Amino acid sequence: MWNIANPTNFLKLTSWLVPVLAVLTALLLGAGLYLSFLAPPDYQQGETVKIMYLHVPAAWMSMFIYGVMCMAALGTLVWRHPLADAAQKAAAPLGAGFTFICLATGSLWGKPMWGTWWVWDARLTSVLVLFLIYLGLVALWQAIEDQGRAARTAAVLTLVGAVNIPIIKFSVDWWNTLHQSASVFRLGGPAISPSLLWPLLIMALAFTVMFMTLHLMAIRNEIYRRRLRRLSILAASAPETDLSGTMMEPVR
Amino acid sequence: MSDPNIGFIIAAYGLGFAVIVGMIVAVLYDRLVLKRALAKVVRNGASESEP
Repeated sequence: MWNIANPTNFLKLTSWLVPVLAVLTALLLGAGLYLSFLAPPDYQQGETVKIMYLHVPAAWMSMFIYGVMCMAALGTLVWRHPLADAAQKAAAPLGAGFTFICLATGSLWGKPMWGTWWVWDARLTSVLVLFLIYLGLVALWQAIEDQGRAARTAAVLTLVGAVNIPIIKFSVDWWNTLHQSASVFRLGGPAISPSLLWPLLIMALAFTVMFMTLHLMAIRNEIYRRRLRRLSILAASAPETDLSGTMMEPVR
Repeated sequence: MSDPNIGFIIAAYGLGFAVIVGMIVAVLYDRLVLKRALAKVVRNGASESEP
């Protein structure tokens, strides 16, 4: 783990790992979509159950990415890993994206099945809060210019916001919700038919590998951004250097 | 597939994949912009070995 703390080593790793993961994502997504559309209709919901293959993996990803951000926050605050804050910053917009997919597809699933686009029940509201936390973290990174301070502040906020994750998971057990209770990760095993479960698991795997690919790419961008900032400061501190094709006059 | 809710299914997949494509394009565009800016700074004489 500390070996890839060196940005050069990390860039070397991503140069071959990102293409491999991208191809794996495409294969898994293709297989998942193919199996999803071959899967039988639900006996109550009919073909509308196909929204599940997008909605549920996106919901799992929204919580998984927050878990990754919590680990990165600990990496920043406790272990002082040099790339932990980059990993945290890179994951927040992706988490917001997957959470938005979860909310939007859930709404499009809810309208025909529940008769409403939205209800303020515990599960839906807690996922909306997660989405707002992601947006808040993205805004925080943009608002604080000192990147070290931004990293520490975002890490603290991320860890405080982690209290929402068990609330999302157990909201359907703790309160009466319109949203159904867990049907895959539950005591006693999955409650859905294997013919529906397998495409769901393959789509979830495809989303996970897709996140890993995009996350590595976004961390790599963050390394480039830091390099650019460092070089720009170096260039600015050497006013006699020809930077734009014309000699800059030193300020007198 | 002749489901009465086919419009909701298509909208969900369309929206989901639009967001995914948006995330991919955003990351790739960010990389393109940064690489260009880095190349420009380096071309103008800055290097990391400078004091």
